[in-house]
Amino acid sequence: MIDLLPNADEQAVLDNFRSVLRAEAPVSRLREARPGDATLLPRMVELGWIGLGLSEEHGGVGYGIAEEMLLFREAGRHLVSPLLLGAVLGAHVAAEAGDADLAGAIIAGEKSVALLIRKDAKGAVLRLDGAAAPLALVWDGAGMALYDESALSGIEDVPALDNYVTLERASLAGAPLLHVTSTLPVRAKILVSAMLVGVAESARDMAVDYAKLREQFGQPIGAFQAIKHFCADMAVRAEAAHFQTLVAGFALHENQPDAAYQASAARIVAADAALRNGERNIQVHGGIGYTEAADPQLFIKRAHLLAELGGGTRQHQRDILTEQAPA
Amino acid sequence: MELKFSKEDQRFRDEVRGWLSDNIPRDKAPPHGPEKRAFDMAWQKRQYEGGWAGVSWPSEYGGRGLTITQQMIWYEEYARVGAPAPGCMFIALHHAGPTVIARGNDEQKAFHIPKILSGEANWCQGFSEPSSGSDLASIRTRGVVDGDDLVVTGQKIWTTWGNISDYQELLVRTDPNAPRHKGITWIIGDMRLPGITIQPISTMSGVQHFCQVFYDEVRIPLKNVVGGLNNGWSVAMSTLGFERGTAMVPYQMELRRLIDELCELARHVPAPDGVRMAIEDDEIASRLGELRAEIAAMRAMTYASISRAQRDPVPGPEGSMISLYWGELQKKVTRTAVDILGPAGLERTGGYGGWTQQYLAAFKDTIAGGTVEIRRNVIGERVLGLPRAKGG
Ligand SMILES: Cc1cc2nc3c(=O)[nH]c(=O)nc-3n(C[C@H](O)[C@H](O)[C@H](O)COP(=O)(O)OP(=O)(O)OC[C@H]3O[C@@H](n4cnc5c(N)ncnc54)[C@H](O)[C@@H]3O)c2cc1C
Repeated sequence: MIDLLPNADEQAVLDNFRSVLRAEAPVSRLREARPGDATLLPRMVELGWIGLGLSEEHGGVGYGIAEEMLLFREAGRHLVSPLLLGAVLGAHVAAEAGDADLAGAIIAGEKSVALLIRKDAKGAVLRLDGAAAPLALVWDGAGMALYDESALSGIEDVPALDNYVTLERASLAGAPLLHVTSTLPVRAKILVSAMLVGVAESARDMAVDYAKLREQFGQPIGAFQAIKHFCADMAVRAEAAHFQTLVAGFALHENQPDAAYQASAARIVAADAALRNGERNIQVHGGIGYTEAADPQLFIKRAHLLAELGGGTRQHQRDILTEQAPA
Repeated sequence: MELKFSKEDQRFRDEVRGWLSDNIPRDKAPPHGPEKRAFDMAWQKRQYEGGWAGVSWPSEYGGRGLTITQQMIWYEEYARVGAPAPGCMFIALHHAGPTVIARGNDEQKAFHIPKILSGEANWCQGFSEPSSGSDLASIRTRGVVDGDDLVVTGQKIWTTWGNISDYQELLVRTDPNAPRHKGITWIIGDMRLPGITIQPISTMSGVQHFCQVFYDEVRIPLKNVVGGLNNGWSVAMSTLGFERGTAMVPYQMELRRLIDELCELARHVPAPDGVRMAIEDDEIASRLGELRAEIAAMRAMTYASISRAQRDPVPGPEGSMISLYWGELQKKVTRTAVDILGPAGLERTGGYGGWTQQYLAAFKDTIAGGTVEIRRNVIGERVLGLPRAKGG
């Protein structure tokens, strides 16, 4: 069966994500709130979202990657802190490595997991929203490693392109607490793609809404073809990225040999959609789009941040050249 | 949400694969002319005899009546074995035939449908005129009722394979005083009627793909009108549901093959530095990776369209998203090939000449069937609900 649209149960799950995030995570919070979504994350823990895709025996909710993809797409739309992805992936690592206690502690919100981005092969890393996180997670195509915070040294704050996260430089050394070489990096690629899709979709929606509202020369700017065509392209990019992400998720779910290829494809088109939609959204807004007070700038910044997780686009473009396409 | 094929689907795939690999023509389709017609029609006839004609058409009209998933499997396997494109049968199979089924009367259906399925007759599309392209509703070719005939005078242009077709779906203005969408008639024209002059037009790729067609008091029997006099706009715009979701699968599969071949090419020709292979060049690798990702995403969009079709058979405007994506991607792929080839890409025959030929041919893919600008207008207005321009 080919069915990439949510059924009634999935729709109910999705509606729940949406209603919670709409009420509790308007993007305006980023200008005031404590960094790292310190208020939001405990709520997500309480709602069981961290262990959404883990089986009940691992302390999770027992859903699968389908629901995780829906969650991260919404998280992307609302620019939720990367700590959510850290926790979800960290719990997967612990569960796969057989460390039930640690998985439980992460799901219960007792231990938060910061994401790291590698800057070079010698251990230079960036840590995202991680100042208070006892654990840190980093991955590439080959595997995923969970570290204790003590593996990081020389930590220093650095102003970030995306100034709505805290960014720290550090140096990573020593052995990880846990290391897995399973399909988790593929899952991570898919969930990052889902977040990028959410960013791309929010940017599209903001641009379209504004194009209907803002008038110049006596008509809505969306009637001008230059603007209309930008919006059409944003819609196509978001559509391609969203459905490719789902296809990748189901290829992984069904253990298909093309799962890695589909995930790389998702990651490439989703990063492209988020970055280009993010840029176009500012252009459609004109002067106001360039201001701090308006929201468009939030999305392009987050797109850049997410696009570096687990390796940049160039890396994925290389990967996909040798990954197995569907038969 | 789900994406998996059942055992039954798999059996069906095996059956299709078996039949296709035993039956596809071994020769390449000739590029144009009567030889092309003979080739395309013979292939259609073979599919008919094998029971595979009109896979998406309802079985009451002699079609195979496949489910949407089976149609997709058919087209996937079709492209995988390298079966020839429908060529000059395209309009008959994918546009005129379905329109006659949806809007024609019993007599029209009984006469034309079997001829299409069996490869006895093919069709072309006489819609565009020199002054009416994107703005199709402005057509001026006149049709005047005289006794039992409609007498047609005027000119059509860009009529693909007009010189090797039997019939055409012809749009004419039958009431010049009515509002522009209300005075048009859709009529079945025999291409051999007296008063018709057909002139092939050479294209930038060198293939004689389309023609201009002149009509000098051509008498077409009124019984050939489909959907009623002056009702032709609604017939031309009929939403043809039976291919919803699968219409672009052949194009997508073909393009994927082209991208695979391009990656192969890059493994065998030198990079710009003349030392490494092209695929080892960072920029080339990055462009190829992006193309591989984009063709995967086009397949995902097809699956999305199939998912929607299963819930609602009436096609939505999102079809324009896939055709826009495809047109742009087709051009990007062939342009990348020419960039990789460098000076060798300047040669149109010999070793890599096929790529140059494909590059030149791809310029049509953002124009034919509605330009990409029109596709963007449709997405902007009908998918996103953006307003039309004042006076537009
Ligand atoms: C290979 C090929 C095969 C074809 N086969 C057939 C066939 O079999 N039968 C048939 O009837 N026709 C056929 N066509 C014609 C095709 O449908 C038209 O070429 C197409 O619709 C564009 O019309 P035009 O060529 O008159 O260009 P125009 O409409 O004059 O367009 C010129 C430029 O203006 C742009 N433009 C026009 N209107 C707008 C607008 N509202 N907003 C923004 N931009 C606009 C267009 O996008 C384009 O860039 C074929 C064309 C090609 C290239």
